[in-house]
Amino acid sequence: MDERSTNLDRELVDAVLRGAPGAFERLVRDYQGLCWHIIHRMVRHPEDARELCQETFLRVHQCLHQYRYESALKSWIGQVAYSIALRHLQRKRIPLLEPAADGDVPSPLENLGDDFDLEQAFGDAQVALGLHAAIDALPPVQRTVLTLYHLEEASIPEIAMITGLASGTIKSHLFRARLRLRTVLEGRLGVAV
Amino acid sequence: MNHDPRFPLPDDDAREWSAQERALAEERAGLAPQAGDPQLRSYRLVAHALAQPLDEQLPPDFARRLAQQVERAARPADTRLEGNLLVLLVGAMVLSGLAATLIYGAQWLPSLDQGTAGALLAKPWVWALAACLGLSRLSRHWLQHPDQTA
Repeated sequence: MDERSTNLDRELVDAVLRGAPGAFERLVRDYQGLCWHIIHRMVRHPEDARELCQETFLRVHQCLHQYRYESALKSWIGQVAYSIALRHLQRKRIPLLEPAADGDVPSPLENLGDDFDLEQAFGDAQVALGLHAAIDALPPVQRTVLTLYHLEEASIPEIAMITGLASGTIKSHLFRARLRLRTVLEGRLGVAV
Repeated sequence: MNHDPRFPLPDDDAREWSAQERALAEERAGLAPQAGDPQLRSYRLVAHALAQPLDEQLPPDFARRLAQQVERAARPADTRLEGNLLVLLVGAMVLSGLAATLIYGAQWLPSLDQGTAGALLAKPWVWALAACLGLSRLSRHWLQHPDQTA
C-alpha cells in the first residue's frame, strides 16, 4: 500500500469519523462498485445483492473506528462485503466451491484443440452470451475471485486480503476457472471435445 | 478453504497459466488479437468477457440515500410533537377541571366543608389560585422551550 493512498484513506476515514458533511456519501460512492462486484458475483440475485450492499456500508459505518490502516481501505471494505455475502450463502446453504475433482475425470486441458475460428468468435454475440452464461455457472468463490482479478484489477495479495484465501488457492481458482471458460468457449465454437 | 491442491503447477499447466496471464496483459493493454496462437486468442476472449461491467448496477442515488439514512439514524429522536401534544393534553385537562368546578362545584363543594382541608377546597378562589399557578408554570415552560411550541 503506497503512502499516497494511505493518506487518502486516512483523510476519508477521519472525515467520516468526525461526521464531516458528505464524507460518508463519498466513501460509499468510492467503494460501491467494489462491493457490488463482490456481492453480486457471490449471490447473483440483484435484490439480495442490493440489500447486502446496504448492510455492508452500514457495517462499515458502524465499525470504521476499528479500522487500523493495516491494509488498504479498499481491501478492508471488500473484506466486509465478502464476509457478508459469504454468510448469506451459508445461511441459504448454497455451495461455495465445486466438489473436489474426481481422479477419473479428465482434465479440461485434454479436451482442447487448436483449430477453431477465432476471427468469427470475436464478433459473435452468441459466443459472448455463452461465455457470460459459463461465468454465471461457476461456483460463487471462483466467480468472485475472477471478477476481482479481471474487472476490479485487484492483485492476488489484495484478493487474499479480501477473501482470506491463500495466494496459491486464489491462483488455483483463477487457473481452473479460466481453463473451464476456455473449454466452454471452444466447445461452443465446435472444437472437437 | 485455504487448501491448494494445484499450485505450483506441472509443466503443461504452467504453460496454460502463462497463456492466461499473457492474454490478460494484452487485453488490458488493448493490443489487437494476433493470428497464430489459438490458445492465447481464446484466453483473450475470456479476459475480454471477464472485464465487462455487470449488466445490473446499484441505483445511481444509492450513496446519497444511504448517507441520508445513516445521518437520520445518528440524529437524536425528534420528540417535539409528543411534547406539544402532552402540553395540550395537560392544559385541556386543567381547563376542563376548572370549568367543571365552576359549573357543578356549587353542588358538591359544600360537602367538602369538613375540616381545614375540606374547608379550603370548598373555597372557589383556591381552585382559581391553583389554576393560575398551573397556567403560570406552563407559560414558563413555553418561554424556556420556545422550539417545542414551533
